[in-house]
Parts: sequence; structure tokens; C-alpha cells
Amino acid sequence: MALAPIIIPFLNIILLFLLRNFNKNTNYLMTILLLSLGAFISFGISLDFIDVSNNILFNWLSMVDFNIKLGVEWVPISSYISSLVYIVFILVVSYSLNDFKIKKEFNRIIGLLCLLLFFVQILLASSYIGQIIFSWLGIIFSLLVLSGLDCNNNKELKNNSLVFFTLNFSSVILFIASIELGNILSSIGLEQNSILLGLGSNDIMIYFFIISLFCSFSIMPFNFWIDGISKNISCVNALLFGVLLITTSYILFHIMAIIDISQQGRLMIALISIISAIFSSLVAMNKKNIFNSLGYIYSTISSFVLFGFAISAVEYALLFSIVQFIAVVALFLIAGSVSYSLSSERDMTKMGGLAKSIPEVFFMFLITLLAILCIPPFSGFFARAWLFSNVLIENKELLWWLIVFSLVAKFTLAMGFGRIWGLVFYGDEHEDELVKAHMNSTSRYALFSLIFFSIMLVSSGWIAQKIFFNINIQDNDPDSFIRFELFFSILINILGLLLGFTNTVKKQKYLSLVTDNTLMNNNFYIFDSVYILFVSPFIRIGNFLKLYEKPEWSLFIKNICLKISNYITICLNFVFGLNIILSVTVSFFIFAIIIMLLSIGIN
Amino acid sequence: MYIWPFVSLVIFSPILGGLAMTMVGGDKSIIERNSKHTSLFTTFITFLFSLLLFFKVNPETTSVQMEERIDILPNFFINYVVGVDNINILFIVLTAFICFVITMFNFYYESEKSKFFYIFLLLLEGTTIGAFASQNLMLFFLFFEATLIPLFMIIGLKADQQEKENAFKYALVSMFSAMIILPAILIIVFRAGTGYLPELSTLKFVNSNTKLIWWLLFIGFAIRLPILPFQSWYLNILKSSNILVIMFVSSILSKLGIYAIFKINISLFPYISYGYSKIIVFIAIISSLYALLLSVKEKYIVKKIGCISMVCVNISLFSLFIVSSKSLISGIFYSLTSSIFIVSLFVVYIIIETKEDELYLDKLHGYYYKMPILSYFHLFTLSSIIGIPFTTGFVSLMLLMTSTFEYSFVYGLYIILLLVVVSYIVMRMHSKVFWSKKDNSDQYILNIQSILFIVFICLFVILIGIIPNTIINPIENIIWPLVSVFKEVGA
Repeated sequence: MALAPIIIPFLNIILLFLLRNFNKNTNYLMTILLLSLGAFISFGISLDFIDVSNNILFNWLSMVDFNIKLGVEWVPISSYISSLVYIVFILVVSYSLNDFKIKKEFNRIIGLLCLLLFFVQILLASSYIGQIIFSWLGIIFSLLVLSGLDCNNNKELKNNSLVFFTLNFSSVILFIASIELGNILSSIGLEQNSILLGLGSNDIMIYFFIISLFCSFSIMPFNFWIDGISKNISCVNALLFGVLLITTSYILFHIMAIIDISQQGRLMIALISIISAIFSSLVAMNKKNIFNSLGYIYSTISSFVLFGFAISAVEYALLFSIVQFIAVVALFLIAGSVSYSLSSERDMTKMGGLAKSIPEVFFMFLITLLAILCIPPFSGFFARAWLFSNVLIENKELLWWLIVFSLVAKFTLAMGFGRIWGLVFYGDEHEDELVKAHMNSTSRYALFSLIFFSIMLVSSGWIAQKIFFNINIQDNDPDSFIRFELFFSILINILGLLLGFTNTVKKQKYLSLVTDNTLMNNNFYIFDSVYILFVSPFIRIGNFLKLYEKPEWSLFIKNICLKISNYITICLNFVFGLNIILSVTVSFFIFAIIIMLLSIGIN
Repeated sequence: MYIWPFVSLVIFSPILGGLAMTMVGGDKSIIERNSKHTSLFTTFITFLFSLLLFFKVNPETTSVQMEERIDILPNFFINYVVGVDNINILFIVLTAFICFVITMFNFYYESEKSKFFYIFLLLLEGTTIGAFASQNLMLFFLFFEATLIPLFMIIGLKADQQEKENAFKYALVSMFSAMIILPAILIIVFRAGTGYLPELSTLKFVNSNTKLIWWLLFIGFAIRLPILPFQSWYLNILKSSNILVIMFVSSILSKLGIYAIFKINISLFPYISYGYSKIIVFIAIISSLYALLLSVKEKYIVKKIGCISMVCVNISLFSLFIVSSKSLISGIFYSLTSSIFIVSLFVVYIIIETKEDELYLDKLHGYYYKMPILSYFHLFTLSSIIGIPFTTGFVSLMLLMTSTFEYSFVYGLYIILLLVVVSYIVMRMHSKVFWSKKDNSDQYILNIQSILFIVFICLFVILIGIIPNTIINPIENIIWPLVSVFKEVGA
């Protein structure tokens, strides 16, 4: 019985192949039945209804001083995640049933999704590093095939899926390198070993471990593939980002038990991830394509998760990522729905008024964004709250500015959501005939899965924290400062959301200067972020002081801004490629110089 | 004792088949047909015999099995001693399989001279298997050099002037290699008073000349690999030979070089090999980097794959000279899996060449819409080298990475770079040839031999990926005495 959650996806692939000439609905029903069975079994295992105390193990590759064991060892939390993954796959398949017009395509995509599910289940059932690496490579490969699937004539998507694969493949190999696999594989299980990785003791190893983490969590310089990848169809996008989030955090949840990173190293990872969260949310605010925007929002969320791991709030971070996994999948499906109802339009500036035409999707969007922003009724709130209170309770020496940075990141993320809300859902209904024909076409299956998603968003985190982590609110009674912080963060979230919304709705064009085409020669997103943070305020000040009424001044300042932003972009590109730790200091240094220069220029 | 001399059967059935084929006569079409069928039958029988041999080998035994011995010139230590052990049987099966594949796919290239092609191919197969199976040093040398003659002829078969020049260059370089290997082998054999390889490996050669002998042998075999200063003949062949010949050279003959270095340089002189390991590792690194750069730049697909094969061979050499238990297994296992990888890649482009007559990267596009199965297979070939679970690639990746990182961190990073770049090159090739712009031509249907080949390779790759211990443990049994010697030297 313990093998069942792993075998079921594989069985489904074989059945899909055998029944490839059957009706699409038959295949759909069979898939749903099998996956539901898998979800049921996993959930049973997690609640001890199904007894799997006898572990299944075999020596897959054994030599005298080297041994990779494969086996199935369910622990409650992993089987719970396994059942959640099953349910999410079922919902995605049901939701996207309308997308697959051709029977052949349906079989192919569902088959590949099941391959992905198969490797995810192998990962979740593992307590051995060898098996983790094994299944991680499998997941990346199946994601490559999935993401490259729809790239018939799309050169950019094709190249990006290659880049995505190469990057993640390198990250796995760097990971292997960094944990000195040779010493570890011969050991029995994860709990029995401990590796010390400290900045003082083993410099190169920890750098590579950190870079591997950054690659797999899509931290800022390593997430440039998002633009290309997010051109995929919505169900592929949803599962790609969702599975990446949950698998990387589950792997780190396991690995953190044996890796002891020094305080300094943790601080560094936390700092870089939170800066990455700010930058990614700024970029997300800046994208016109709804899928790109959501891709960068995913990057922000995964940065938060890594932040949680870095400040050694391992359980909270996993709890946080469970909720966010469902939310990310839901977000991409909503985007797919929006795009579908406007006949595959993905440009947000051309949308509007969808709250009236597809109200159920709008309602779902609201729930999802509240869950992502961790507003109280949703279970993400307590995960996030404890995650941050953990910073202060357990690491008093961690500086207050981590909290400040995280508040800024939350604010920008909320603004990004507000902008999407304003652009996509607010406003008047479309009057185009073609668009009207497409509207109101959300099918029953899609509606069912949306409702189920919202139930899961509320409940999944609660179940996890009550049953598997044994966390009670009374036990973690936060002190007054943390209460203030929690209250303040909710306030900031709501404020950011409203500000983003009103800014967009009033068409004040908060970001109008940034999207000014004359200044945007370089598409690279660092340019955008640099521009928003450091250049546009000065232009606004210039506007305010009516400097631009004199044309020579205007030209002069614009030229300077352009040149310097380009320069910073090139520098950041170069520096991030070389050394990530150094780059942060360098970029701060450069920012300081820029501010000085610009202030001199305006004065 | 075995009643049937199975090893000799595997060696001599292709040679006899080749000789028998010289008697085929009649009309052109009849010659064509008869030689085709004879060759196919012979290679198939050889493959079956080799498989039989594979299943007869006892994986627990470390010594030579099924030995057959005939004394020819005992005074000069030239005896016919052949036998199989857990390592050379793998190469023998591989050779027999690849020759069968080459015969099948040569049906596409029917020409006036295909009779001679088949004859020389069979002779080449027999001598190569003989070199793998021989347990006498002198016999090994004879078979090793005997591979040159049919290869020289087969390269020069095309009437092109350039081809002939290449064949001559190849013959010259190979003669040079023979000239430097022969004195070294003679010294070893006459000094030890025996040519029997298992007996030689128990002796310890300690002499001032031994280092010179080691270098002579190494350079001689390195020419066959090829590694950096000795590679020009190989690049010339890549430019203009028959694609099937290139496939044979890059998948089998280079592995023969690797096998020779393992069997003679490392097994007979473990102390000296240990001493020179750093130099050889460095040479392998430079050489693989050179080949990698060549393959990045190249637009002609055959040459590109040839250069990738050179990278793989150098990785095997690199792994062998790290000298630890894992790295020795990794070197042998990697050379096997990379052969499978290279052959699969070549076969994919042979199938494309028969439809298009063009193998330049810029001119091929949209093959996914014409041959979807082939496109999936092309992606699958990658699994032979990069670590996709449940395939051979994961095993070779693990072995390679762990042994290299134990040896040196910097070299480990270098190997990461090589693997990532090679997989990127192959995937770029894949996306360019299969996924670029679509044209409205019809779908091609794969013929039966292509489908057989694809099924067989996929089965092999997955089977070994699921149960790697069936190959790894027998190899480990054999190399274990060597490893204990290395540990002694290291201490």
C-alpha cells in the first residue's frame, strides 16, 4: 500500500497510452478516478488509517564505499503534502479540460503531468539524499519536456525552457558538489548525519550550496527565464511554478536537518532573498503580460520561503509554502481563465471590467490574493506570522532591518496585486462582439475546481498546523512588539493593495515614467527596478520643480538617467554572474553613487 | 572445459564471413543482395554468440573465464590465448551490436562498392573483438594493429581524392603508433618471460626503463583515443568519411584505446600510473576542452557529434586516472554509456540524412512534424549522459561526480561545466533540427530497422538504469585488486 501513491501516476500513463484511441471524456474520468484514489491513500497514510510502518528499501546502486538506496518511507507531513499535490493535480486537470481541444494533445499533456507527479511522489517518499537527487533530476527533466511542449514556433519560449533546464540542472549538480555527496551517500538516512557548513570552515562549499539554493528558488539573478517560460499554456504554467515551489521547499526542509550553516551565512541568505523579493515584486508591477507578472510574483513568494528557511524557521517555512503552493497554482489558473475569456489576450492594459462578466473568477482572485498576502482568516497568516515572530524570538541578534525590508517587500507585492486587480477586473465591460462570445464560458468543471481551490486555501494550512506540526496559538504568545509588527504588516498589506488599486484605477500612471519607451532601450528587468527605485523619483521631483519646462534641462537629465541606468544594469549583470555576495554590496555602493550624482544633477 | 570454443567463434565468425563474401560474384544487383544478406546474417550471428557469451560469464569470478589456448610460437611468447572476463565481455557485446547496427543502416547507402564495405566491416569487427578478448600481450598487439588494415581500406573506399589522403594520413599515424608500441611490448614480454596478461599483472616491473616503456605505450594508445596532440587524423576523418565509419571509429575504436590503457598501462604498471596520474588528468582536461570548443563552433553535424565523442572519451580517460575504486568503475561505465549515446545520436542523423542529403545544422528544421518518434528518441539519447532517473545516465553521473569531487574540487567543477555544456549543445541541436519552423511536407514513416534500434536502445538504457548493479558489481570484482594496490601506493 505504501507504494500506491507512487505507482498510480505511472499506471495512469500506461493506461492513457493503451486507451489513446478512446473518447476524451473516458480518459478524463479514468485519470480523475485514479488520482483521487492516490489522494485518498496518501491522506489515509498521513492520518495513520493505512499502516505503512514496514518501509520498503532496496540497494539500487551499491558498491563497497558507495551506496544509493531507493525506498518508500512516508512521514505524516510528506504524505499530507502528497495528498495535497494529488488534489491540486486533479483540480488543474479538471480546470483545463476546456483548453485541450484535441484528444491527442489531452493524452500527451496529461501523460506528462503524470510523469511529473510520479517523480514528485518519489521525492516526497524519500528520506535518503541519493533518492532526493534522483527524483529532483526527474522533476526538472519532466518540467523541461512540459515547458518545451507548446513551443512550436516560439523561439523565445524554446530557448527559455532550455535555459531553465540548464540552470536547474546546474543547481542540482552544484548541490551534489556542495554536500560532498561521496561522504554522505554511503550513510543510511538523513537523520544520522550532520555536515557542518560554516563560512569560516568550508568557504567554497557554502558558496556553491547557496548559489544552488538561489538557482532552485529562482532568486533574483537566476529568474530571468520567467519571462519566456510564462508564455506557456496556463495549466502547464500553474503546475510548473507550483511544483517548483513545493519541491524545492520540501528538499530544503529535509536538507536543513543535516546542514548546519553559520549565523553569518544565514543572515546573508536572508538578506539576499528579501532583497530579491523586493526586486521581483517591483518587476512584477512593471509587466504588462499577466503571466509574466504572476511569474515574478511567484519569484517573490519563493524568496519569502527561502527567507523563512534561512532564519531557521524550517517548519513555519514549509507550512507557509504549502499554502502558497496552492495559491500560486490557483493564481495561474485564474490568469488562464481571464486570458481565455478575452480570446487569449494576455496584455493587462487591454483588459478591464472582468469583475462583471466573470464574477466567480474575480471572487476567486480576491480569495487567492488575500491568502497570498496572509490576511487573517486565511491559514497562511499564522504561518507567516510565526515565521516572522521566529526571527525576533530565536534570533534576537538579527537586525531590525530584515523586518523593515520584509515590510517593504510585502508592500510592493500588495501593490502589484492591487495593480492587477485594477487593470484586469475593474472598469467597464468589454463591448467587442468577439470578446462577448467568449465570455461567460467558464465551464462547470472549472467552477467546481475554483470552489475547491478556495476551500483548500482556507483549510489546508489549518489542517497541517493542527495535526502535523502541533502548533497552538496559545503556545506562541507573541510579545507586544511582535503583535505590533503583525498588526503593522496587515495594515501595510491592505494599504499597498489599496494604493496599487487606486493608482491604477485613477490612471495616474504611477509607473508611466518607467514605461516611457524613449528611455527603455534595455528590456532587462534589473534596469526596470533600478529605474523605479532610483531614477523615477528624481524625474518626478524634476517635474514638480518644473525643470522640464526648460528643454535643455529636460534633455540633459533624461540622458544622464538613461546612461547611468544602463551602466548599472550592465554592472549588475556582470557582477551577479561572478559572485552573488559581492554583488549586493557593490550594487548598494553603486546605488549610493547614483543617488549622489543625480542629486547633484538636479541641484 | 567448454566443448564449444565460444570466444573464438565470436572472433572468427565475422572474419570467416568476410572472407566468404569475397567469393560472391555475378551481376551487380546479385552481388549487392548477396553481400548484404551475408553480412547481416554474420553480424547477427556474432551478436547472438556474444550475448550467449555474456550470459555464460560468471559475474562472481574475477579471473579469466572460458579461456582457449593454442601455442603458436612459445619461444617468442606468441600464443593464441583468448578468454573473457567481466569487463571485456561488455565491450565485446557492444562491438557486436554496433556492427550489426552499421550493417542494418548501410542499406541506405547502396553503392557499387558496398560488397567491399561489408567485407572490411566484418574483418574490422573480428579483429576488434579479437583485441578485446586476447589474453596474450603479443596476440593483443597483433589484433590491435590488424584493425588498421580494414579501417584504412574502408576509409579509402570512396573515390574522393580527399578521402584517400585522409586514409593515408590515418595509416601513417597509426603506423607510427605501432612502431612505438611494439618495442615497449617486446621489452615487457622478453623481460618477464611470458606474454600471458593475468600472469604479467602479478609481476612488479621496477626498472629505470619502465617509465619510458609506460610512456611509449601511453602515447601509442593515445593516438587511437584520440587526445590532444595526436588528434589531427581523427578530425580529418570526421570531415569527409562515410558516416557509418565515423560512427564505428568514435564509438568502438576509441573505446579500444581506453580499454588498452586500462588493461596494459594501468593494470600492468599501477605504481607508475599512480605517479603520472596528475599529468594524464591534466592532459585529458585540456584535450576535452579543445574538443568541446570545436564542437560548439561546428555547423556540420557529423563533425559536431565526433567532437562530442572526443569529449566523452577524454572524460573516460580522466576518470580512469583519478585512480580510486569509484573512478575506475566510472571510467569503464562511462565509456560504455557514452558509446551508446554517440551511436544513438549518429543513427538519428543517419535517418535524417537519408531523407534530406544534408547534415548542416542551418539547413535542417521542423523534423518533429515529420518524425515525432525520432524527436523523442533524440531527447532520450541525452539520458545516456545526463542524470535522468531510471536511466544509465544517472548511474554514470553519480559515479563520475562523486569520484571527481573526492579527487579535486576544481576538477569536479570542470566536469560539471563539461556535462552542462555538452547537454546544452545536444539540446540546442535538438531544438534547432526538430522544433524550428514547420513546413507543410508529409510525415515520414520510420522503417523497421530504425524502430528496432530505437526500441532496443531504450530498453537497454532503462534496464541498466533500473538494475545498475548487474554491470557495476562484476566490474567492481575485477578492479578490486588494482584498487588495493593503489591504496598501498597512496599510503
